[in-house]
Amino acid sequence: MTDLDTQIRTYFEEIDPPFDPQDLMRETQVVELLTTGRMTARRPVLAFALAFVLVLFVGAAIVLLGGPEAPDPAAPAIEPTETTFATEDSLTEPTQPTTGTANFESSPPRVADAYEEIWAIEVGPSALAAVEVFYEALNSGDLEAAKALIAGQPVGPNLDERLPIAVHGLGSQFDHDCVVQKRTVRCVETVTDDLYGPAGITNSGTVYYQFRNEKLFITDQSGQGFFVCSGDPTGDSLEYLLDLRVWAAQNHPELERYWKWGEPIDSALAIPCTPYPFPTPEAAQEISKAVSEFVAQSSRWPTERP
Amino acid sequence: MSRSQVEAMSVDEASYTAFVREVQDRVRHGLTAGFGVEIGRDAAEEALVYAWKNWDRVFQMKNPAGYVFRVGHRMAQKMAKKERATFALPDPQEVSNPIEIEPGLPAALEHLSARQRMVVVLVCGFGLSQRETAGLLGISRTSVQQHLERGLRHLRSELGVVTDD
Repeated sequence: MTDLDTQIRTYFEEIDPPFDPQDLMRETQVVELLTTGRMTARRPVLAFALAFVLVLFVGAAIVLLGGPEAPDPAAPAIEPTETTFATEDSLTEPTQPTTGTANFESSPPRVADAYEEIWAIEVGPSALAAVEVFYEALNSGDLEAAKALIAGQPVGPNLDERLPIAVHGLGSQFDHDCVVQKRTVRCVETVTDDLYGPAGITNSGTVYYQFRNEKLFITDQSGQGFFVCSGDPTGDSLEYLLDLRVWAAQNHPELERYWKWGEPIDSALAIPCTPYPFPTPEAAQEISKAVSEFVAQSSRWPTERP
Repeated sequence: MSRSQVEAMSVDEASYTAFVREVQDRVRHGLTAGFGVEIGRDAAEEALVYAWKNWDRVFQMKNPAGYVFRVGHRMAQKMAKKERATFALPDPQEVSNPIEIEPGLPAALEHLSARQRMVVVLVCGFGLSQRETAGLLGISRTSVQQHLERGLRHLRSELGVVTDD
């Protein structure tokens, strides 16, 4: 068997063969950008519909700009070679047919520049770089560097208090996927830590950053955000956590004070996906250490990944 | 492509053809690694078509491959969200030309994060430098290194590969 690198290459070359540049240049139809993100080169009906909308806008523009000859309501005829359609205005005003000419050949519809907007970098590459530095600091455990970059009071309850618990106590790793938007850097982050991570449960959220005066501001966050288990632990993951809880009760009763969930130990609710209840990084570290011990002795893990 | 075919091309067509030949492997494989074969290839194709439609502008960019990749990445994200697709790689024995690789490789790759897969495939499989990979993905070289280390660690652990280091 060849080495891993060669195997990866062989596999991807097989499943992902190259395109012919000539074929790419032949793809000339309009793009369905903002609605689905998919091009419509292979969807002639939708392409025609979009072209029709384009004609509609051209017609509307002619009307709004007081085109050369505004239609006379009394004028009876419409040129037979022209396409007839009603503008949106005609829905609220006395019906007036508006005419426009559809020409699909002389000038292909201009692809909407939506991506130019999406990738407009008003916040600048420096914002993305700052976000990367922030996550690198978190992932390497350099809490001071991370805090130095964050300005003011970040959104979210007790975020400042929980950062040390996550970073130092639970060894949280923030996998992130950031894109520069017009005014913010949007990051989908997935946090894996030493507590829920071994059960295959990760914590995902979307965080929006702005970068001003060399400081990052968290302007919004959705999903569960930091330190809240957003996954629904089901099946193997839940059983695994329950096993952990039972095992910890037998082997580390001193930790019981930290497990403040107040439910019977064999209840599914005993391990809820709620914010970590640990009061200090040290407590989180203690729990985390016990989890590592549990993982090491468990026969179910990691051979049977949830 | 014959010489006469090349000569028949316009300057734009020739430069675009050269660009696609140079960058399409990394764009395609990166997106396929991140989003699976169907969505990854669709997104790569459409991003490259988008580049052709905007070639006068893309041609002048400092990092056109990175731009095209990010356009494709954005498209792939939308497709995956819309289709609620779960990531999966085909069985090596079920592709058109069955290949001899470690049977557990696709599953092991599936267990990596999307970023880790992209970095591992691009750096290990296709020999991109960490700097090139960072430029393509729009992340720092340090992040590439971290994704690579973690990805390889998980991959080797899952496949039971023993290394000297």
